[in-house]
Order: sequence, then C-alpha cells, then structure tokens
Amino acid sequence: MRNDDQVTSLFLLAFAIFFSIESLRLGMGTLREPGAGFIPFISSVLLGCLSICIFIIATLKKKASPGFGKDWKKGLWVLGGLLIYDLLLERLGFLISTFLFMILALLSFPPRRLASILLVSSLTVIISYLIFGVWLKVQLPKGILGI
Amino acid sequence: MDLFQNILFGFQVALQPINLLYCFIGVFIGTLIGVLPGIGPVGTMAILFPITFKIAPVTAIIMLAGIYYGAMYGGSTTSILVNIPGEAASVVTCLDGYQMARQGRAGPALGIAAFSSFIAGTLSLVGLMLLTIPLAEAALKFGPPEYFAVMSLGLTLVTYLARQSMIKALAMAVLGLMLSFIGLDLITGEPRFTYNIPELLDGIGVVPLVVGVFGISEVLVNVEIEIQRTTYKARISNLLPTLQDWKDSANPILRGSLLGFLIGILPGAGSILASFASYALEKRCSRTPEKFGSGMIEGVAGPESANNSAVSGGFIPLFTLGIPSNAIMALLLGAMLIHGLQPGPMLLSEHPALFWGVVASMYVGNFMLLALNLPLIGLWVQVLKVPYRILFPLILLFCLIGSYSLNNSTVDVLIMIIFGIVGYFMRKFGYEGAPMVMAFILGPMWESALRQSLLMSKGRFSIFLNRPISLVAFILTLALLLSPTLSFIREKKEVLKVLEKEE
Repeated sequence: MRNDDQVTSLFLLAFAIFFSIESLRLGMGTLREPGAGFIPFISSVLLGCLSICIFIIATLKKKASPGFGKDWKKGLWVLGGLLIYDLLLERLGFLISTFLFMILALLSFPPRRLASILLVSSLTVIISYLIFGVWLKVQLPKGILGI
Repeated sequence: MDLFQNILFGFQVALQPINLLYCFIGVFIGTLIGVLPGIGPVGTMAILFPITFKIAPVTAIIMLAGIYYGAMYGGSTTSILVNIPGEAASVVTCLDGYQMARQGRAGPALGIAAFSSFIAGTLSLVGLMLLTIPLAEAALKFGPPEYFAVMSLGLTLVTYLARQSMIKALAMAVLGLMLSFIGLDLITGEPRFTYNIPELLDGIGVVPLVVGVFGISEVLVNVEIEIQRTTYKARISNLLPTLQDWKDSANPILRGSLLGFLIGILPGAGSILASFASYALEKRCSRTPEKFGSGMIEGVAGPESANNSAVSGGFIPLFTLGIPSNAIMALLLGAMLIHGLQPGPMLLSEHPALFWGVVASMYVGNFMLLALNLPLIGLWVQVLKVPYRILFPLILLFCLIGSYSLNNSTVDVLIMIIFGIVGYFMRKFGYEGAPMVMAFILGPMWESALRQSLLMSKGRFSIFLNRPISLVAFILTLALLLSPTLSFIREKKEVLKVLEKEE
C-alpha cells in the first residue's frame, strides 16, 4: 500500500537537507555572535528530525491514502489559467487578461453556454475595474489598451 | 475614571464617518464570506491587505477586525439553514441549529445565534478593556529572552491544539520559520536564500503566502469535488426568540461568553475550540443532555456566544505582548507592522487611538451586525444560491488582484500560485496551514529575540533558565512537546498488551 506520509516526509527531509547546506554556506558564526546561517541551520536540522519522525510513524501506522477528487484535472486547468494570467497580465493589461482568465475559468464547469460565459466575464471585468481601479485606486497594469 | 475616559475616546475614534464606513465594509464582507463556504476570513483579510495601505492604520485595523468577527456571525447562518458551516467555528452550530430549522424553528435559531453573538461580543469587550491595561504593564518587563520563550510557547501551543497530527503541525511551524528567514538578514544585512532574485530581498510577502495557502489551495480542492449547494426553500418567519427561548439561553450565553473569552486568550485555541468546548459544557450542565443534537436552543446559544467572545480574547496577547494567538491575529500583526505600528506593551501608551478605537469599533460593529444580520437573512440565503462554478473564478480573481497590488509585481503572483500548490498538497496530506503562517509572521521577531538573548548572555543558553518568566514558558513548552510522545508510547503499550492477550 502506498503511504503518503512516507512520501511527504521524504520531501520535507530533502528540503531540510538542502536548507541546511545553504545555511552552512551563509556562515554559522559563534554562539556569542551567531552568524546569518546559525538559526536557519538549527531550524533545518529540527525539520529534518521531525520529517524522520513522520516517516517512522507512517511506517509503523499504515494509513490509507486520502486520494484525489475525481475531477483533479479541473485543478490543473485552474492552475494553468492562473499561470497564463500571471504571464499575460503586464503584457496585455488588466482588462484583457482578466476577461480571458474569466472565460477560461468558467469553461471548466458545465453548462458551457457561450453567451452567459461572455456576459459574466464582461460584467466581472467592468465591476472589478470600477472597484479596484477607480474606487480603491489600485494601480492595475494598463497593457496594450492603455487603460 | 481613566478607563471611562479612554472608552469615550475610543468611541470618538470609532464613530468618525470614515471609520464607521470601513467598519461597516468589514463586517459586511465578513458576514458575506462567513456565509460562503469557499473562502475564510484569513484569505479574505490577506486579499484586502494591500487596499488598507492607502487608509489610516486605525481605519485599516477596524476593517480587518470587522471581517473576523463578521465571519463568525455569517458562519452560523449557513450552519442553521443548510447544515453547511461557512466557518470552522460554526461546525457545532449545525448540530442543533439545523435540527431546529428542520422543525420549522429556523427563525428563532437564527435570532438567538445573532443575539447571543452580540451579547457575548459585548461582554467580552468589557473583559478585553479590563485585562489589557494590567497585562500590558506586566509585559513591559519583558526582555528578548522572555519574548523568545513566550513566542516558542505560543507556537508550540498552536501545534499542540492542531486538529490533526501534532508532529506534522510542528514540522509546518518550523517550515514557516524557515520561510521567514528568506531575505536580508536582520542583523548583518546579508541576503539569505535569495538566489539573486531582487523581489526576494524583502523576503516572501505575507499576502502571497497566506492567499496561496488559504485562498488558492481551497479553490483547488473544491473544484475537484464541486461543492453541492442545497438551497433552503422554507420561509423564515418570526426571528425573535420566545420568552422561553430566552430563559433557556440566558445561562448558556453567559457561560459561553466567559469560556470563549478565556479560551480565546490561549494561543492557538481560537474560536473553533471555544465553540466545541462550550457545546460540551452545555451538554454537561443540561438536565437533558440526551436531547442535544435534536434541536436544543442551548446548543446554538452557547457555542455562538463562545466563538464571538473568543475573538475579543484573542486580541489580548496581540495588544499586550505583540504575540498573535492564531493565524488571523498573526495577519493583523502583519498589517500593524506594515503600517509602522509595533504591537506590544507600548501600543497602549504610544497609540491609544488605535487600541481604544479598535475596541470601540468592535462594539459598534456588533451593533451593525445585529442590524445587518436579522433583516438581511433573505439576502444571505440568496448568496448561497450562487453556484460555485461562478463563485470560484471571482475568488481567484480577488486573490490575484490582492497579491499583485501589494508591490505591483507578477513575481508576487507567482509566489502566490506556488504556495497555492503547496497548500493544496498540505490539505490533501493533513498538514495544517495555520502553524506555518503563524510561524512565518512571528519568524523575524522570534529570530531576533533569540539572537539578542545570545548576544546579551555572551552565548550562554542559561539566560533562558535564569529568568522566571522564560523558565516557566520553557517548562510548559517542554511539557506540551512531551505529552503526545508519552501518549503515543502508552498507545503502543496498550496495543502490545491486547496482542499479548490474544496470543
């Protein structure tokens, strides 16, 4: 049986080892005058010990995996949408990239009626621009439209 | 007399039109997100963080605090009407509240939830005002070793009270500390773990981290399963509880208020534990404990009082020591630091307007919530009908704007997405986000207190044992750390005994 805690604890252990090596490079200093790497090193050793404990407990107590929801691909779709938004935000500007993002996100669930998707996306862009850009004066990227 | 003058001064601040407006916005948004299951107060406060930079610190904290206690109010509405707790603190309200609604008594259940929240909110504010001054005076005697010890105790308590594995929560707290080390070293000014990325010199922002761990990850988990909405069809009439309801609820409200307040002061406990503890207490005090779960009004009044008064209790460690008792308070600490305010014993004397203004605003906010919740219940029920497929892109959009507008940087958005993925796996595998966020925010203070202590003692750790406050804090920390280990060994021994018997 696959044991998730064993896998996650090994990830944490790897991170702790990496962090401890980097901390050593920063310099430990002395106890009288701790260097920049002193406390990060101690913390990473602590995380390493804890991850080993999690691994041991996971090995002793076998536990079923929680598993992923049946629609885990939707999560990937949403993540992709977020990354594309981040890439396009400063190039295309807030209005266009938000409009595209909303269409992409709304497409992930049925019913996929184009007219209602376009309507909700346009309304969201306009209302969010009025709230954040006009009322709260948040500096939103202007991009190619210049607004 | 002094206290009275301070309260008057507080109301002068809280009743200024701008503060009233933001208090209203805070409690309104708080109730809204309390009603909506997909997003909680921590994520919302983080998203709205950058907006508060443009307003005065008092106004900002008034609004952020409003979101917190507003969410406690809103959470109960969905618990009662559709058996879905909007907030974790309202989980127990489902038990009897929903049963009352099924018996056609949704009105009185909602009414008593709102009134008991209001009464508890008010009573606990009196406690907050009375306790803060003496505690802040005592806290003035704290030096770096005491701060280090108390912060370590606080972080351990948060992990001790974790809903899932304590060892995983401890690992998350240490991870949070490690993430807080990224950026310029506080003492030597040396860049640490920045890898020539200029945006990391100031460290990872609180907003992208919190929004990622609490906002994005929640959406990612929910789109997998798509929250099913049950819409409430019955009509709600007669919100005012009857005289008998009041008689039944009076004592639970008083007990819940006191218990919630005391639990709220404890680091890590917060509203969730307060509501559960109050339910258990009411069951014990009742002459008919077997009826709990079948629509007893005491089961709504007690926990609803407790979760609201825990909010006020939670402010005490923040205002007196500058140490947050839960992730939400940690965010408020972050907001204060960004506004150049150092919460702690000096806050009361240096910024009296902030302390008394915020306290008075909570009183005003409780009034607003009472006025807002009862007549607007119809609106909140409508909000529940918005399908999640429309709601989640909006939540994501707010997360994106919140993270971007902090520094107008797409790197912050990327950091948010990364922590969204991290948070998703944390949720999946039972690692809690709250200890990580709290440790992340406390990290710089914790590290500098430790380094200053070592500088003071010329490298001797005995400094923590020579001072009574830090000694007591460390003994408690050690006891907390050891107790689960002991129970684990005990559990193993019992299993062995059973196995031996079977053989």
